Amino acid sequence: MKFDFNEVVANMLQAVKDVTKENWEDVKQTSGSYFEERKLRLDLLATLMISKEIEKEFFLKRLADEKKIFESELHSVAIVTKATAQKAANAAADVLETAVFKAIGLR
Amino acid sequence: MCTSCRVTLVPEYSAELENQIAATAKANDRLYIDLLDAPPSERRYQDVHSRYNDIEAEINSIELQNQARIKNQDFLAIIKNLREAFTEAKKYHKDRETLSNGEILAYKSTMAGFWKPLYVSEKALKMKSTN
Repeated sequence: MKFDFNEVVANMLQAVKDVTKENWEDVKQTSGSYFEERKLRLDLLATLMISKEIEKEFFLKRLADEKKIFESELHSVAIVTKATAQKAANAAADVLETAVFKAIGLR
Repeated sequence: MCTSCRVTLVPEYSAELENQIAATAKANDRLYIDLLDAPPSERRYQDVHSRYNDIEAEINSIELQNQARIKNQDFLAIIKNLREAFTEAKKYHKDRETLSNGEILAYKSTMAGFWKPLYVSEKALKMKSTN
């Protein structure tokens, strides 16, 4: 039975690295897109307020909505991050399982 | 990998939910596009109340389906914010009976802001589902 613990751990780490490498790009892209859209929404609200197309009370309620939208966006970024972590953890577990099964002659 | 060995941090991707979210977000957007297009005399709440009710029922259905999923906390928080915002927008129209151009534009933009995190999240499950 051959089971090189160091090699297996190194392979598990590499599996995690491979999956999480793309995570930062996903989070950056998602957050960036939310930020740009928030700028557009706030710009529209400010324009509507200045041109008196909406009342002050309505404007303030939409600003309060922005806080809730931001909260939803943070939950969304959390989901993107957790989904990547799940994929990375399962990739590492796959490496371990394959190595163990190979060592005991099941694969 | 054995099922019991799998790490689970997010719900499983659902193509049906993704489609339902996209379709309902579109119906919500279309409601405001049509209201903006209509003359002020045809923007009465009564003219569109059934469309409001259809969208509300779809949001409730999306929420119910998410309540049955595991690891659903983030999704439920996003949907709660969406549902409350939609209910407020519906009540505002009902109480005022009509909406101005500015109010329609603001609601159209804000509601899109509430829908996007939900859609992006379901899509993220799809992209990461090859585990």
